[in-house]
Amino acid sequence: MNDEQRQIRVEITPEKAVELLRRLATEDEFRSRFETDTRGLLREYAIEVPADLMPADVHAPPQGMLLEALAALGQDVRAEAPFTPLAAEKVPFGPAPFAPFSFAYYFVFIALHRAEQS
Amino acid sequence: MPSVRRSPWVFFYRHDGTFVDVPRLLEGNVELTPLRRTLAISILKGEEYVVSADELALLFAIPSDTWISSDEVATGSSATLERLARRGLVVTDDADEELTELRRRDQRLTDDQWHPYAALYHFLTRWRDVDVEQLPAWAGETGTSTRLLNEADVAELVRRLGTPPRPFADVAGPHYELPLTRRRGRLYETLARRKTSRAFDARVPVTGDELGTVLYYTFGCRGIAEVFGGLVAVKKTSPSGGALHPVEAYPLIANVEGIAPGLYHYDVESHALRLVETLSRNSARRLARHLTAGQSYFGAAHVLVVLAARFPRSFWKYRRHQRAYAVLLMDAGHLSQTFSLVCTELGLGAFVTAAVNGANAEERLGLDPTREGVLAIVGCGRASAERSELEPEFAPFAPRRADS
Ligand SMILES: Cc1cc2nc3c(=O)[nH]c(=O)nc-3n(C[C@H](O)[C@H](O)[C@H](O)COP(=O)(O)O)c2cc1C
Repeated sequence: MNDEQRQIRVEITPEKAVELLRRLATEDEFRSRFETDTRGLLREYAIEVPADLMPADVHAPPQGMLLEALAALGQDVRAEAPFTPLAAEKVPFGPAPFAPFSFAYYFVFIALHRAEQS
Repeated sequence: MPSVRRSPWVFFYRHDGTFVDVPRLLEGNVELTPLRRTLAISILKGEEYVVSADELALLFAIPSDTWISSDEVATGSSATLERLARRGLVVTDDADEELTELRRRDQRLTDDQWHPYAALYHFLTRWRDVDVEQLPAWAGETGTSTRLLNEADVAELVRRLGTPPRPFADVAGPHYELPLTRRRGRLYETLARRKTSRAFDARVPVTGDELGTVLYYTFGCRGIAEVFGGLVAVKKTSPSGGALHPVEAYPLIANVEGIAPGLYHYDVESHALRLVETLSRNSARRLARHLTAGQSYFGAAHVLVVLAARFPRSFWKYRRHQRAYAVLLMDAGHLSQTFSLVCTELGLGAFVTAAVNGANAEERLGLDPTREGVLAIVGCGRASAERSELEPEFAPFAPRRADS
């Protein structure tokens, strides 16, 4: 096998990068797939990990750490929220409490806040 | 070997950002590391892709205005070329179904006179399968019951985001107070009653007459005029850039007396519904919820109307025009306000939403997305008495007492 094939290739787009971290931080099913089908899942996000570079055991990172990373990438978070006036918790990237347009970051911030408190 | 051409419907940008270090991630750690990459935005696919220096070199070696044989550029890199073709970055004359469709889209956008920035915006901001009510698993809640943010959440939000902007703009300069006259009459009363409804009473259907009235007074044609070269201007109750009225109405009917639930097109010329697909009442509601990106409160409405612009109707006249796409959005906005006022006048609740799964709606309606695209969805129904918990209670506001 030559060197090129042995490298990890990271061709994830900025939007997908945020989606990957968000889902890893918030979706249990996604986290367990990350642990059992790591290469398949990462390939869907344009990250190619050669088999021989895979550790024997993969554990999803703690959610708090992922949320912190997300907050650090904050500028890249894109909203998927309806344009309702009040903020409701059931909406992942929820609408804003004060304005008829939603914030992209609210969910991440609230989640991070909770993670910090727990 | 097939002939190839670079698609002119591609933009490139350089992104300097950070991402988690992948080997550390595999060890269960999160460590940010710089990640710089060049991205190609494919309008044909509505996606962006990271491209390598080799791919870029290959892309730039292929002209966008002439077909060349792939042998000329791709010796030893046919796999790369195929990857670029499947990403809609180059088009080929290959007979493969997916590649043929991408070539067709490429040609359509050019022939139909899309402005490149309008196409970029439209196709890269179109939603598919977005569900805004999907609960994150760790939230540990059941169902989709709403919990509004509590005071601590809000305080935290404001700490992080800063104070929200004031509701009213402060503009310096001399101040001239205006007369404030209290007007009476149907129009003023209807304007005062207009609101977004998010709770509907399914027990009482909308009547066929009400639906006909709403559609006719919002989307119906009231006059026509041939303006030039066979171009016919249309007069409706809302204004439209160039009097073109390129926005079509597709009612999704769930609960209207005497009309089978289903997806329809509103035929303006004959003031009639043309059936696209029959549905059960429940599947109409499910579809309504899906098309409004999971907003179950809109899924419960009696009727939704998908607003889709017929791009060639506008771009035939406004060719590669920088403002033409903005005009389409404004046209949809005007129609939505007229829709809302007519519904209010009839005593029906109404709404408009921009959080829509346009790509899904277009597929369901059988539209060619390069020629007709969803801009927004309006809807109406018999409003229930209670206020939705997503709405604030607006306290009356007046700048001052009316003069009379
Ligand atoms: C272009 C546009 C898009 C909107 N999208 C949504 C939406 O996705 N979801 C929603 O619940 N309300 C949506 N609304 C409604 C606004 O939230 C509503 O107009 C605002 O809260 C003011 O309330 P009112 O319409 O009752 O005066 C939208 C309004 C407009 C004009």
